Amino acid sequence: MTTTQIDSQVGEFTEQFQRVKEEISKVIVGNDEIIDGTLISLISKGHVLLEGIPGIGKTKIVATVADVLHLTFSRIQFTPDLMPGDIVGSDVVHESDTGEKHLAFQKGPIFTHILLADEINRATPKTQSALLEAMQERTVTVGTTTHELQPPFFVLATQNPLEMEGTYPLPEAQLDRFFYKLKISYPEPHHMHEIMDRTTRREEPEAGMVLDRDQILVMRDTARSVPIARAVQDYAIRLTLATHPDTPHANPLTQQYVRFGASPRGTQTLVIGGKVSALLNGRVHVSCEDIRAFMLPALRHRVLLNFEGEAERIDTDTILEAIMKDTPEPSE
Amino acid sequence: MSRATERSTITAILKRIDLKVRFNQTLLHLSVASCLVLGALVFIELAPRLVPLNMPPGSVILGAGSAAFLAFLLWSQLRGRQLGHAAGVADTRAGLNDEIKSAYWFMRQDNSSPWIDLLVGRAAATARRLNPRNLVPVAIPKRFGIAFALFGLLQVLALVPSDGPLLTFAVASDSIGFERALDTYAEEIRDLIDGEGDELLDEEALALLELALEELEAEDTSLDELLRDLREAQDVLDEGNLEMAATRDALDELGEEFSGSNELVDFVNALRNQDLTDAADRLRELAERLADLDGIDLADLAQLLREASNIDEPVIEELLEALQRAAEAISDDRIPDGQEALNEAADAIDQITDRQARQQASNAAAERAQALQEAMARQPMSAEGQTQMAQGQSGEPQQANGATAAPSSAVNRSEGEQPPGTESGPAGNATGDPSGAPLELGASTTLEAQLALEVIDGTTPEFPDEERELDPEDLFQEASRQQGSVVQYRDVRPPSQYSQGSALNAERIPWQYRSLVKKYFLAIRPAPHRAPGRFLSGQARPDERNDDNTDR
Repeated sequence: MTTTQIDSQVGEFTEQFQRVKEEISKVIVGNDEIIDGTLISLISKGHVLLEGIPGIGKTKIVATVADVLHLTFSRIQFTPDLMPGDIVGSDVVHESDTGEKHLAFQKGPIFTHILLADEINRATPKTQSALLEAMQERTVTVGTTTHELQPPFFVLATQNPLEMEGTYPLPEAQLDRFFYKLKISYPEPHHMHEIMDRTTRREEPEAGMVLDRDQILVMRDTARSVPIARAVQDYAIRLTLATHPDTPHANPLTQQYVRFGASPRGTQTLVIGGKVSALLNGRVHVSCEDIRAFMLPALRHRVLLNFEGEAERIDTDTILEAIMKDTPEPSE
Repeated sequence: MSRATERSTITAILKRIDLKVRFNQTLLHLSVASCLVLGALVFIELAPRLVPLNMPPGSVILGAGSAAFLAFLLWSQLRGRQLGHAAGVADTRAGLNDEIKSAYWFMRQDNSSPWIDLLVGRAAATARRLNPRNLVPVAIPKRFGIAFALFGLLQVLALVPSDGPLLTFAVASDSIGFERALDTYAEEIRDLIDGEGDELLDEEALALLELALEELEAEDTSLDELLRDLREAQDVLDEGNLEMAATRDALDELGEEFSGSNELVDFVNALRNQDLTDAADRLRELAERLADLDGIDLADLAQLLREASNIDEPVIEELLEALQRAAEAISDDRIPDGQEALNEAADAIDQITDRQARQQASNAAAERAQALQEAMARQPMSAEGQTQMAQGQSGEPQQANGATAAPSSAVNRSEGEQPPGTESGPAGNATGDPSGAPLELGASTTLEAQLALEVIDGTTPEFPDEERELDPEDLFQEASRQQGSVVQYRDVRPPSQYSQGSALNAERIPWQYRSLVKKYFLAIRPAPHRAPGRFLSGQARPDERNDDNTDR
């Protein structure tokens, strides 16, 4: 591949990304950060956890993303009585034309490209953990048989804030598997007008498909090819280490309120997300600004507060912002 | 454009940026160094004007600062080019989002891939658009303003003369004052010795002053020794004061005796005015006019001269004898002999004038010696002085017979004789006195005066001269060494207090008031203690008797 081809590939990447965004914007008002984060996660082979109170469009966003992508889509409404088998599928008895009975694997809704795990924290931890293998290894094991999931496999989970009744906190291991945790807030008043205008007519706007599976896979390869200088990578590592209370890089807030910092998976998220961010800005190198751009959604769910932090209701975003402020960029 | 060209383009731009960055850094370091050096120079120029501090010379600070800066500059230049840092500067200044930095890092790694080539190619294109002069302009640090202000302040300080520190620490100021006092008094004593001292001062006093001066200049003696020598010199210089006062009193009395004579009215007026030179001249004029006087006047004159010559004033004995001879010659009508005797009386007055002039010179020297002692006594005892004093005490005892010795500056007396306000020495009994009477340690003006009075009166000291020279402090220490001391441990003071006390208590009375002090002691002296040598009749004068009665 020549530099010219790469140059055009980068341009195409940016263009396709913009087209998807524009299509989504026909349905979703505002929430640019959520849409960007969702698409970056998709391109980065990650999964997204959307958090927000009910009724602010979490499911709508996910459904719209699925609409613009020419991919299979499944939705699982997580409830307390949902069982793992309801997600991954199970062996059921089949009767052949000859009347012979045998066990056959009935695929669950997880066998899709885009999986909407709606209100994931309403299911029990046991059921939530059914997604662990699928999200990380892109495989599902039922009994002794392992089934591969077709790429791209992209989980979009929504959850209500933990303070709400009838919710189960996601296990740390499960949380760590989400590329980004995006927080959806109430729309601004001018966005509310736009939402009302669009949704209270007889004809609601619809988003068309603009990106197919192969294009997404090419975008994934393009994103991972972006080079990153050691100094910038070191910056990402220092940012991650600063979330660990026992390291020399630890921020004072970290030392006071954090029990466990972000895992190396967090650093991977920063770097890969930074690469996509660089491409979206038309660059073929990752800058420190790219690393910082999505640091909050990348690390906020990977930093575990200690008792003092929980008691004082410290927001991990506050700690991460302090880390971003205090960690110097490399000078050379 | 080839890969090599792109990389060389980036490198060339980075070198130019690095050069400018280094230049600015050098300016920054130069400004900091200037501020530090000038600040230090201002400090060493200003601080001694505020507080007494000894500062190194400014040239040392300037030289050390310049050397340190040159060494730092050399080191910074020898470190080699910092192109990575220059790349960082270029990215930051031009807002390139780490493009040059990333490209330069991949260039150094010598890795090649289409993506890296694309990155380097884009970075080279960006670098070509960069103008290092605009990107890194020459920045004059604001610290140069501070440096210029400090330089101006330094120039102003150089123009303003210094009168010594405004604020003084207690010890430091005393120390500096002490050094200045030493220099000043040494100079004064030197002037006194080299000037009129040869003619006016007593030989013994001159020798003591020269000894003190040598010690001052040599600076190899202890404070105690210096104080002791100065005090001895002062004692010698003060010795003639009481005699001078007595002479003045005697001349006053003589003038009173002549007060009824018409022939001697000018002489009497001169005596009252204490113009002894004029008095001698008037007496010589009288001798010349003696032949012109008639018999009655001569008889009256002879009678006056005879009565006047009978007054009991041994300090003007020569004058009185000459007047006696003149009276006898005039009575016998031997006018030439009378004239000769009157001329001899005038010569005696001239001698008295000379003695008074010498004593005035001695008083001036004594006053300076006293001022020097007081200045020295205000200083804390130096370690050297303490050490030397300790060696003197333990090594060579200065007194021979502690049991019979008495100091020259201290006499035994009862408590009732101690004038009010007189400071006594440390509490305790002196073991050097066989009678067991309390020994006053430390010099006392009143005691010195009384002792001097006894010498004038002809009282023979009860101790040899070498014992009289012993210091009370030495006596005290010697008694302690002989385990004869009964001083309580609570009353034992540090040696420095004794020496300071000696210096402070030494002759506090200005010489012009010593006559008055002498009269006081003469007035209160008990009759049995009066020595017969001075008052030949062994009786007090009428006015003294009245004073004694009054006091009693």
